[in-house]
Amino acid sequence: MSEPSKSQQAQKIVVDTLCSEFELERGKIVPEASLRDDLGLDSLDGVDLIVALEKALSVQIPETDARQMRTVADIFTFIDKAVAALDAAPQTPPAA
Amino acid sequence: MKDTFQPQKSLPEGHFDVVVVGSGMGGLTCALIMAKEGFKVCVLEQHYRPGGCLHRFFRDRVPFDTGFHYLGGVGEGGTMAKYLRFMGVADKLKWHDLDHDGFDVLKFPDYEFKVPAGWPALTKRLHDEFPGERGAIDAYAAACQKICAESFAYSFQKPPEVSGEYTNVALAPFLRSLTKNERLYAVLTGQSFLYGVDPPTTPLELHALVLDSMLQGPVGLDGGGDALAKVMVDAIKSHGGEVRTRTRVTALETKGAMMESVMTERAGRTGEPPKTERLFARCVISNAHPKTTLDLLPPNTFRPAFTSRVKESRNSIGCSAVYFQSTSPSPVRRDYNIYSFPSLDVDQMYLDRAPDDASDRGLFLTFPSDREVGWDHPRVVLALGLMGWNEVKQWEHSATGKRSDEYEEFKNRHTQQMQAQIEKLLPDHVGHLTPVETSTPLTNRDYTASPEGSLYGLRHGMERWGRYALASRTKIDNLYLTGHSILMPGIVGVTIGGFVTCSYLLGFEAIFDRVAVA
Ligand SMILES: Cc1cc2nc3c(=O)[nH]c(=O)nc-3n(C[C@H](O)[C@H](O)[C@H](O)COP(=O)(O)OP(=O)(O)OC[C@H]3O[C@@H](n4cnc5c(N)ncnc54)[C@H](O)[C@@H]3O)c2cc1C
Repeated sequence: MSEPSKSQQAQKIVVDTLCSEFELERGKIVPEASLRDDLGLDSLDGVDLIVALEKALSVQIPETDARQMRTVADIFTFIDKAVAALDAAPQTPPAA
Repeated sequence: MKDTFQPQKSLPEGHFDVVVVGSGMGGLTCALIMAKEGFKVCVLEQHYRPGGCLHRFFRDRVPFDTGFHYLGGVGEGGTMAKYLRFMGVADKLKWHDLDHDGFDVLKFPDYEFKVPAGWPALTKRLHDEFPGERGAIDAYAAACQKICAESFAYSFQKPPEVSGEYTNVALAPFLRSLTKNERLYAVLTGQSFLYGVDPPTTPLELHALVLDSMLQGPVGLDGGGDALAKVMVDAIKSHGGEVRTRTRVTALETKGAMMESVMTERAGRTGEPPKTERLFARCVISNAHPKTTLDLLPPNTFRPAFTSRVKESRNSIGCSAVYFQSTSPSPVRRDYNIYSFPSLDVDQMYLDRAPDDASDRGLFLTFPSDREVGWDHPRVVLALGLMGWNEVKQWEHSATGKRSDEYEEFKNRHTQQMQAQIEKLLPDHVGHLTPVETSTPLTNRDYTASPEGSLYGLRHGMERWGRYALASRTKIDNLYLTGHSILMPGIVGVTIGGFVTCSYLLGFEAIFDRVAVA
């Protein structure tokens, strides 16, 4: 079996975060699940979700992207975009 | 929208529409708004006096203020004036002006800048002092004023569109993009004590709102913070509300997904055990620090995401204060404050210092006896120095009055250092100053129940601004948060914050449209 891709690893972190930080059943966290209607996350949870994801994935989620996240798949799409951007970036450590 | 909260008729004894935990200005504001709107309200305060940071203590009958020295915007058209008028307390407070030509004097080792009241006067003085920097100064002033105009709770103007263009902008990078002049940078960040965040991580919006409220007309209050606390408490009582001091909330109790009651413990007379009492609340507003609020709730009340977000938020920096009496016969009267800086590098003041670091620190000096009308006590000089929790952490497990000799030595050493630093700034007081009391972040922690003795509760850095801010609403429908950790620090900040908190109960327009015309 091949190594999970970066994108798969990131998706797993998202699912793990939703399970542990929001006490959600793993089985419910499918790509098409609506954050609000299926997972019951309201606007207050939305802020916590962004903070939790930014911490777990060590990324910044811009406000415009955050606002577009309606389903679990939307989060995955954002992550793929972020992973691709990371891969494209030159491999120099960030300036202090 | 949810239905607004309505008073319940004939609640039995021990039952309230609203229980407010903590009597800081934020809690008192909420209590007064709700009492005025006809709700049965009870404020619970662990300290023997109401007011939290408004506390003024007395030594040999001489008053010393702790957490309130000046504010702005109480004059005609001022932001704070509207809130005070709405609450019906404006005409009960006797404010005195600070010197409008220079209410804060910023003293750097070889440079001094007097901050005048009003944006036009400030801009003009900056132009005069920094003739080559007109573009930077104008861009800075324009950005700050735009931010204030776009904040409805602040300007009461309804702009055609709120751009929010500065929400993600930090003060230092913004200033650096405008100027390379270190002296100008130091002047524009010099009043950062007012919100206690280092310029690199200060939200530009926070800076603009806090500074603008001072520029609207800086004043002190005759009678100090106590006078404000008293007027607020009297008004709450006049609307049928209760304010209980020496009453600590020991638990916030839920039933299902709602708040039901609070457990209180009232200190008994010497030798008597404390009395406990359960009070029932249709709604609880916590003015305690958010970390404390979580500790008072049953474990796992909130999801881990929220709990860890609050628990992992950093507290704001702390301070020490040395309270002096002075016998100086000097006719010099200072109706202004002094901010003193060890160097032009304002950012560096916010870094942790080693406990044995004896170098000068950032200081705030204020002179209530030189400006309060009707002061008939000896002269006093109040000095505050930024002090991180790390400097006193080793004594964190001790209680007031029962600390170690080592701590007393640390305090004495610190007092002497502060006095030496102050005497350089106030030659007319040399040989006349007697330190009466010294406080550290430990003192602040124990008197105002502020974790790590933080000046302003949770730190208001970029990491907690805009969409990262802690809301006053919580996942528990009838539990709200208020006070300086929530919206903004300072007396004006927590007053506006109190109105925002209550607007979730009463409806935003129902409150703010009325404040706008108060
Ligand atoms: C040294 C210093 C100087 C300052 N100077 C100024 C100034 O000049 N101008 C200005 O505008 N602002 C100033 N500030 C800031 C301002 O005082 C505060 O931001 C503001 O007063 C905080 O109000 P608050 O409502 O958040 O509550 P706080 O004043 O923090 O009060 C909270 C209250 O809750 C009580 N409490 C906590 N837990 C419990 C419990 N379990 N049961 C019962 N009661 C509890 C505490 O005892 C306390 O009374 C200063 C602050 C400090 C520390």
